[in-house]
Amino acid sequence: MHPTDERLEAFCDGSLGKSGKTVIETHLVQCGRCRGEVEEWRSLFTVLSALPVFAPAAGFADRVMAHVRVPEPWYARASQVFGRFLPRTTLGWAMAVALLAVPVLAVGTLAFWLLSRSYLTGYRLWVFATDQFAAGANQVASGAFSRVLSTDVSVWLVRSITSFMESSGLRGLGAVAAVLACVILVSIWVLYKNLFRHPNRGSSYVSFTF
Amino acid sequence: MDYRQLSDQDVVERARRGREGAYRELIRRYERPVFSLIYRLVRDRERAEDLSQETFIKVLNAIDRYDPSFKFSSWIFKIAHNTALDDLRRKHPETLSIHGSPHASTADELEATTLTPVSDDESPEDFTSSREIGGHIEEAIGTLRAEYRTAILLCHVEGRPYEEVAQIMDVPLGTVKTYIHRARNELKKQLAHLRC
Repeated sequence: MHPTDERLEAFCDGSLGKSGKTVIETHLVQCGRCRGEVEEWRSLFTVLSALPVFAPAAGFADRVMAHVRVPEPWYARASQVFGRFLPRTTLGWAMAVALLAVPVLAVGTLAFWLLSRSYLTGYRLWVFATDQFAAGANQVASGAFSRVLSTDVSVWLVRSITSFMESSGLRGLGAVAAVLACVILVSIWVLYKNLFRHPNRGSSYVSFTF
Repeated sequence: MDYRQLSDQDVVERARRGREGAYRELIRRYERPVFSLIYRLVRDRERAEDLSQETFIKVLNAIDRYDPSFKFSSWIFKIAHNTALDDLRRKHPETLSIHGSPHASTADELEATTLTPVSDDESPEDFTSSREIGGHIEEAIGTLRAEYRTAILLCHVEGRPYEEVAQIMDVPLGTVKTYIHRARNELKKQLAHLRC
């Protein structure tokens, strides 16, 4: 019995299983008609796989790229932003360098004078500076906090929260916290989309599903 | 930077970071396969150029929406196939001839509509002979339904597996197998006279 045309085709394109392949091979040894069929399939496959490739006219890539919006890398965007503040003329550069040199020279001279004193070491200076900074920051923060807490709005807010907690319990507070968290997340997303993410282009261009 | 050594996914990644060279590399890799597929579908060089250009513009402008878990080639062929089919639905296809459009009235038009394969190392004799066989097979392919044509070209010319062809054409695997089987049978019948 002869194998079907589909099986011979599958034999030629290699999609037949190992056992099926062996059956066909055995059959082909004794059947000239099926050998002829197989030859026909094989020659068709050869012709198809030898089909030439066509090339578009020269300059195709340039024509495509003329319509493609390449997103700018972050460093290009950053350099654009900072570029606005850079001087454009030699005189401008000279002025900028002179302006920058004044505080650098002042701080440098002061540091040199301080470090040249025998009783002052770099370590002592560092400890003194960090202590002063920490004390200052602490004073500013606590002052600001107490000022904020003593305003009418803060007093009203604390009273409202307390009465809300008394009336609705922890669940109500949790719900408020969840709403606030959502609002914060949305705000972060809006900020990110507007400040950092490059704009989405041509959203109506492609619709595809895999 | 030499993009030729990189995989499609890596080139796409660099394109997303805004490297123009990566965009050009993707065009270099796919301009011929995409153009060949569209050319054989619409059978008009000028339209094929426009549609190929449209395909690349769609793909490259939407590169940040490409899902890297799928093959880039599947994505671009899918868009090329859809673009060509949309165009075929809008316009009537012309008859393909390897010797140029039958509607060409001047030598320049005839030249412009002649199928010119990219031939790297063929002698003039080989080219003439293969051009004759190629003419018959191109004409036979031209008579197939557009879906059969896409399936057979992706499978045999591009060497894509059935699964990928199904993904590109957005049809079940069984349908692709049917398309390819029917297309092969039609081609076999049409080319039978060449074997005599």
